[in-house]
Amino acid sequence: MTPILTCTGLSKRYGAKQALSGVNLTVPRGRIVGLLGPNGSGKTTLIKIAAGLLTPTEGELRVDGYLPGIETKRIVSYLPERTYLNDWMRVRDLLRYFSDFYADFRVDTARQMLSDLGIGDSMRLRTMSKGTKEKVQLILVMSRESELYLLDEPIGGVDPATRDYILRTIISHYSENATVIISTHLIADVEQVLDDVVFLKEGQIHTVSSVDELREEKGKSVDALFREVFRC
Amino acid sequence: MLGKLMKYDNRAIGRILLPVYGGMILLALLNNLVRNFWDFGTDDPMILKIFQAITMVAYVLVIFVAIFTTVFTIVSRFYKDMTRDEGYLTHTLPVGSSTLLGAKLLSGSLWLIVGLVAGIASVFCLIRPDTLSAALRNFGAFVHQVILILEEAQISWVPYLVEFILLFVLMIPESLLEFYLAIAIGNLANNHRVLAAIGVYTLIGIAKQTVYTLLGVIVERFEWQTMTQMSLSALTALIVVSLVFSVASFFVTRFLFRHKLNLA
Repeated sequence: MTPILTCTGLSKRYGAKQALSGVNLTVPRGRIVGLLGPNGSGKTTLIKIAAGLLTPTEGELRVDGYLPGIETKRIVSYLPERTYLNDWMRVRDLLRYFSDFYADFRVDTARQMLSDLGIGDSMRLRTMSKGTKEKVQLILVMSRESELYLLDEPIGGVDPATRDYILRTIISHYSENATVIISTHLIADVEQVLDDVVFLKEGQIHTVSSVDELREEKGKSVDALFREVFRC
Repeated sequence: MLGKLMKYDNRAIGRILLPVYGGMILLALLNNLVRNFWDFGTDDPMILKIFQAITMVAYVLVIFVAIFTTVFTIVSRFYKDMTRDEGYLTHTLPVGSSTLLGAKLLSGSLWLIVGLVAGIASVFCLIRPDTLSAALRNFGAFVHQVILILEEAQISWVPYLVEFILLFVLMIPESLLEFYLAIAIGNLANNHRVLAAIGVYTLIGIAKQTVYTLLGVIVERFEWQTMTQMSLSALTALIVVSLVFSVASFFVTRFLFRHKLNLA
């Protein structure tokens, strides 16, 4: 079976700044992968290339064997680290929008999750708090039956209760064969849900391992190892 | 997908522009009322004149507001959807760059036409209902008179009409593509992107003006047998330049969004 994501000699430069340098990576299906690294390590750049928002300077990235394009966007569900929804829209407009553009969007699942949080159909995004907006966005993204979920800093900047809700939502709403890539530097919070970890350091791959192997080999938690590798 | 994209674009633009156009037509109707039917319960002609002047000034102001709001709303919708935070959703939809740009162009052109129709409708709303049919008849007679004069002078007016319509139709998307291209190029800058886009827009305007001036010089240098021949050729040249600029702008803008996307 084709891996869901492969990077071959992937590099990205912004002017004089090298964001990614010769990244080689294969991500199998059916895993929850933590893309971990400090700020500026290239996590967002890698995710943006996979989402089709950036083109690499060198090398290539493939999703399900395809270069990023219309085919990959059909099977990739992407959550950026910012609010990307039109704030004049009501919740029902957003549900219609996702149903219109994504064939894999499960509107009933989304409606159920929104109702669990007490978010009504007629609520306007503009009137919601930052945390509620982030929950709505996550619900929309996780209500797609995608093959690859790219979640860029899904728990950054939200309170611990919301953090728990987000992680629960991620675990319970992805299908078995789907892969979830979570980019974050808040390791302790996500460690419990991860199958694999990828450490990115200054735009290069530092470590790729399963969480279990890492714990066995190093005798440390991912969080402790992260602190050791990225000590300032 | 084109239809779906246009549907959401039209909703986003329409929620701002429809009330503006509605206000413009209401003010035109109020003008009509104040000038022809409503005396405010006073016999003082001065007070009536003041009211008439106020409503007319308000109507003229609303016309300017409508023109500015129409262009600003269409352009800012493009800017936000394609280059700001909303761009993270727009560019991850399973839709090609041509379709994205095409939808923006079609919905933008549609709203420019709706704005024009609303403006013309508001002018009709200024006319007294009982004199409307007479006004239309007079306008018809005027057009007929112009045609007769042209025919007497042995000037065929049909090619002029066709070329003018063609030029007008082309100018609508061309004017939008000028903004879109400037935004796409301005977006390549790492800082001050709006300023960069305004700079590029000014440069495009200067470049186009230079081309038109050169075109005028070239047309003048030929030895034309009649004025008709010269003016029709000049119009054709304008149409060709407009078409070339529109096609080039579309493809350069598409290339920039496809290969050089640089979301903040």
